[in-house]
Amino acid sequence: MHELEALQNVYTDIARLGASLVVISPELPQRTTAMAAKHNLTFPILWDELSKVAEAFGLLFSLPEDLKMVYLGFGNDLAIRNGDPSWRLPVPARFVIDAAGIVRSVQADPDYTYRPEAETTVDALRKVVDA
Amino acid sequence: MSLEGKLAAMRAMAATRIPPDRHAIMHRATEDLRNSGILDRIVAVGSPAPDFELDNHDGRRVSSAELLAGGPMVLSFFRGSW
Repeated sequence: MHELEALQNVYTDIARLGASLVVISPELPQRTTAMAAKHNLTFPILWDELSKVAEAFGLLFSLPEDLKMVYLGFGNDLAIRNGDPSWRLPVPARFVIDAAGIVRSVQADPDYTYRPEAETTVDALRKVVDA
Repeated sequence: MSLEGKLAAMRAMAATRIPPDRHAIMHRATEDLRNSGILDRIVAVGSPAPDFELDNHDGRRVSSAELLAGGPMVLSFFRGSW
């Protein structure tokens, strides 16, 4: 959530550089709509049904059984939340893709409690635009 | 406050609120994921990005080709609102 707010804060900078900003989420769109409204998020948040796009980007992993039990203990049933019984999630990752469709920057960490600052992504984008 | 400042506060809160046995499971799963080599399998710099066509949460169809026709794209993969 903090990450999406940070991206919202640089959305104007990204647009000013002539680029788009898109977030991809495995979560059912109704929940995303509620979150976007609550936090005033104005960029597109696309529903990746069954995480097929995350898989294509090499980000998808299966949660081990003991972690699944921990999540269920928190009342977080990802099968219901995502409409996907597989209990898979993407590694959080941020890409800058140039207009030719080539990946120019990747920021990813298997530890989801760490995310790159939004400004570092804008810097990477600026290099792509200036190139 | 920086994003990292907010995340550091969340990590500190999680360490006090989540029972140690559950916290240990979460921590080990993260380390196992790191050691699985997943970072080496992510689409790399210099490679073509996979195409996608997905629905926005408002139901509007969005395609990567359409977005890239207008310029570069920042694409962020999110885990969920929980």
